[in-house]
Amino acid sequence: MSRALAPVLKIHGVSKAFPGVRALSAVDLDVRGGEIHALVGENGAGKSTLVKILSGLYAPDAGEIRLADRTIAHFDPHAAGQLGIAVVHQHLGLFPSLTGLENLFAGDLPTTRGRVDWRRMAVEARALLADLGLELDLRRPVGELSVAERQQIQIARALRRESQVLILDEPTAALGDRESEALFALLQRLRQQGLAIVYISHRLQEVFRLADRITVLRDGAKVATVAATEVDRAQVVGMMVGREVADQIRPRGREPGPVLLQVHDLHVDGAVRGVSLDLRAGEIVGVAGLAGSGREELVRALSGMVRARDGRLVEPGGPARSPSPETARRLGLAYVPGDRVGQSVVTGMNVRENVTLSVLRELSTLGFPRHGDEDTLSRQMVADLDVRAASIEQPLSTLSGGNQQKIAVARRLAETPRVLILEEPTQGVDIAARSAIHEIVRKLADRGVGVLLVSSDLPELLALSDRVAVMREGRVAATFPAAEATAEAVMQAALRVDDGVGADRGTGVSEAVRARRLPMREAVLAGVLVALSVALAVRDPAFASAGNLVGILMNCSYLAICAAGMTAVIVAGGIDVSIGAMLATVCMLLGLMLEAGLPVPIACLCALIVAMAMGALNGTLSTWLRVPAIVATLGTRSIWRGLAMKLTGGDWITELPPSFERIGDGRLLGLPLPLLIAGVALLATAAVLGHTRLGRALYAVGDDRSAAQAAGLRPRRTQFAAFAGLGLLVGLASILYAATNPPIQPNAAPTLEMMAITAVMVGGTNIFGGSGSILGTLLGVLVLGVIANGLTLAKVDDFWAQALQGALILAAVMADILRRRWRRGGAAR
Amino acid sequence: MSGVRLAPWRRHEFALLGLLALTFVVMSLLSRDFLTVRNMVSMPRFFVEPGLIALAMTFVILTGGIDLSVGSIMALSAVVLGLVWGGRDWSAAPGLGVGLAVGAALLTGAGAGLLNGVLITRLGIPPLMVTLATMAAYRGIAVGLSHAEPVSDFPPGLLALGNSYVRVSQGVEVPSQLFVFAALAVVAGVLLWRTTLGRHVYAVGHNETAARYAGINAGAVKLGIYTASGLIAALAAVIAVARVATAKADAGTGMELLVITACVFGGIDIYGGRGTILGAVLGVLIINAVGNGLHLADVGSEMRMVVTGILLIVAVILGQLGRRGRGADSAE
Repeated sequence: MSRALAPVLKIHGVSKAFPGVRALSAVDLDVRGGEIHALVGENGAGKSTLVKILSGLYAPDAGEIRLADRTIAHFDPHAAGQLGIAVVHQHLGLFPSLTGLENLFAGDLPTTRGRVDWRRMAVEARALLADLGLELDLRRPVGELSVAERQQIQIARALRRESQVLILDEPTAALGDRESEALFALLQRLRQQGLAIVYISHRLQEVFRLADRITVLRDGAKVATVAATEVDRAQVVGMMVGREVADQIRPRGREPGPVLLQVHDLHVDGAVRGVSLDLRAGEIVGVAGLAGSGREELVRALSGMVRARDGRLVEPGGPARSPSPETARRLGLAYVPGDRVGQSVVTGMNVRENVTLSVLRELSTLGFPRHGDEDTLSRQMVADLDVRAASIEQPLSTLSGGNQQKIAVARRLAETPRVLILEEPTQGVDIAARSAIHEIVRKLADRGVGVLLVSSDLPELLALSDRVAVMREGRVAATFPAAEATAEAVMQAALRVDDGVGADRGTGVSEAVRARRLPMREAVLAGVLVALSVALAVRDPAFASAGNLVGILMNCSYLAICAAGMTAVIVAGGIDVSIGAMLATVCMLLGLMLEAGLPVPIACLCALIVAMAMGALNGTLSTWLRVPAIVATLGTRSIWRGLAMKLTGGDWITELPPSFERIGDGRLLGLPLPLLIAGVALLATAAVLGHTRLGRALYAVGDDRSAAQAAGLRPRRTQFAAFAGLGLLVGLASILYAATNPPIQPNAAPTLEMMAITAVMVGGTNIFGGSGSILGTLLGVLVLGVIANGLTLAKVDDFWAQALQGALILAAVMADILRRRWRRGGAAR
Repeated sequence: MSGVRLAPWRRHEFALLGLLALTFVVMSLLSRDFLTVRNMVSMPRFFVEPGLIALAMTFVILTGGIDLSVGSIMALSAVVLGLVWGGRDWSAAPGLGVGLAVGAALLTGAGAGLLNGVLITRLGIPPLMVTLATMAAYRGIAVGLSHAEPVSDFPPGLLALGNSYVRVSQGVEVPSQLFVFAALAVVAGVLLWRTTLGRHVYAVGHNETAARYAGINAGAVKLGIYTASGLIAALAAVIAVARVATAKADAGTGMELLVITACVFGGIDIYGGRGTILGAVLGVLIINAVGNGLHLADVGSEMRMVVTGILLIVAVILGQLGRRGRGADSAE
């Protein structure tokens, strides 16, 4: 390849502003083929904004992007991919429910005559993996793979399309050490092949190991681009912050106080296997360990957020017990989780409300917070921790990451804890805030608080800790006093001594989870259906008569069509509760048109068009107008039903032409026409869902909307198509319904949406979107039909059918949720 | 409310007051009967039931949930009320009979709400799915228990709850249920605005995980809220039965739509975390005035269904625009 060392990507004068923030100002950057170009800077320096512009997610306000000497005017994620810019995002943009193979090709599945070509995909994928030297099982849903394997899928996906530029945003953030090594080796191979690589990382060690050149950003502007060999770490850090800062080593030698916390033989299912640990007053104990070593589960168990088994928290001089959040709090244990925005602070509330959130009860009289005390405490915390906020009433969302982290710590300090558990306290925080937070931790220890510090940031751990406990495979593998805790020693202990195979797959935990494979949902459902039918037939031979069985199918036909459409909508992450009213309205319109003497085919065509338009309206509301699907369709349900009544003033339509009624009782090839129509509609829907780009896009969008967007799919357009498609199918069902259930009534099918949703749920479609099948839905419809028929035969009061339906939905959803929990093995989150 | 303190005239509630006034003007132009003392005084007879439920629904939506089963809980409670009262001859002790019947109805509502809450918090099923299912189930049980037969012949003591008036001044009498509503609205408003519970509700709505890590028992908060939602729906059912003097399984039909519309109209963010009781109450008043005015203007019930649907959708769209205006994240 001849692209080596020629500038591939050139950015000139790119600027971007958001309301109130200037994110990038006139940034220049050039990236050459065959180099790894590191992009570094503090949080808020503009790295993420730049990546988002390069991946087409943001449009720059000004400036020029040139790729291989061509100026690119305007592009979106799809175009960026086409042009050869591949991005591996920080938060892995994959689809957990889809297979590795489909993930590799997501966003542009190869098709042959409109059909997704799975075989070609498999062949191409195999060649690609061989090329990259990766070994992955592509048939598995990506959600079952390890973090490292998922990242490999992402890189493989990024490189699949003859990419010229590969951008990696904090690729090692979620990786263990061995996994990172494998990644570095891969990147070095790719560099040799002439690829231009942009590498964004907070970890300067990695940057210096990998990068040929380093570009430093600060406050949205470029500081410099330098060759990695010509600078050292301190200089780069200096450029990042504008001055030189180094991690201060804590002066040691103070005597720790009495034992505050004693952990004895703590177990957490599959993750922590007998950890004993003690922590003294004024002591900082660091907990090191690779991802999957049980480190996270240990602190979650200590804070009471994960159920511990067999474990004991020994309160010195007090009783031992398995911790719950309440006991943990009563023992004076405070936990600051690592995922700041997700688990720690409430960005929608202000500084005061965040600081006082966990002690509000103590600051209240009879359940009414005392404002004066709240203000005093918040002011004191803001001053103590040097939080940069205009006032204690400032919304947290307007503070920087570092200041938010200080608030997260402040909240816990407000509890005046005896033990503070800090998880990744400086992740994603800029360097100035980092040293400020370190200073706070030291001061706390000096005041006699025991600190348990869990961090992936080894320099931080070594700089702060009096002792370092290293976890491996759910146990404490080694403990080092500060003097003996060197980076090498800690890493040695964290890695396996016998560098065996498969170590990069994390612990045995994930393998145990994988071993549990489940039989296909559809097979189970078919079994249930058969068992149910046999039971009914034994009880009442009338059930098994051909007439009765055909009757069941006939009764199911319009429901099956609607449920198929509902499957598409739910798979795409939506829901539609308006279809019963929609069907009634379309039936009424159809009846009026037929009454007016319109020819049957034309009336039917009009009905289909109207129904599709109604579905399209639901789609428009829930996508472009951002009304949650349930609310939008609750509204249109009311509108449709009102219209159905209005059309005839509530009257029924009885006079239908015989040629129309033939749709209901006619036969073709010996089969009743409604069954044929339903069969064709279901097959067509199944084909669309399973084997077209649109169908696969529905799964992708429902599985992970933002990943779909990053992959160049158009979530809104896709969801809109699902709603419109459901409308079309409801139109078809309306024709069948009107033909088989005369006379036409404005209050027809009052519970159709419930029945369709029940059938879809029973059929195993994930309520949160992303997975499900038409076969499952069909089986669900049949189960409902057989149950209804059985109830009729057993002369069970009709009134109870609705109650049963609600119970069925709940049972189906519960089964689905329990199944997924079981699959995840109950461990971890 | 949390967040930035806005100047009074920029607050959502202020705009709602204007909207309420506008509704009154438009409706009085549509019908001469609208702006009469008689109509104004009888209005509470119709908004107290959705209004009560909206108070609870505000808490539900603030925590990021939804309760679609409130109408069906009303039906179930009404049916239980009718069955206990109509099941035996209480002529010896009508007071005891009514007391037992009302108590049973309230317990039923609370129990139904508790079941919703247990399914949502203990099993982790999304509120939408749980209450969609129980919406069908509770209505089905109500129909099944009563065989769709109405119960009437309630004693005057009970009927007074829905049909008596309290004289407040010369010539102005107010329906007695208005006092129930006013009292509960104040309680709900103070709970949300001034107490730790209220703060916890907002915290759970904004970020449930963070709230849990802050030591807030989010599960218990939600469990309590769904139970209260059921209890309040039962109370609304008792008032509705008293008002129409009949307990039937079709009580509360369409109530969920009306109440959610009112809440969203009142500025409760459908994604949780933002909104006030005052807003919800104003939302109820506006929706009710629109319905009442259209009714007086001889617009049929079917067109009122259409209007309610449109109002709901328009309210949410406006709410979305407001979110974007505040620069809030446009997350799902």
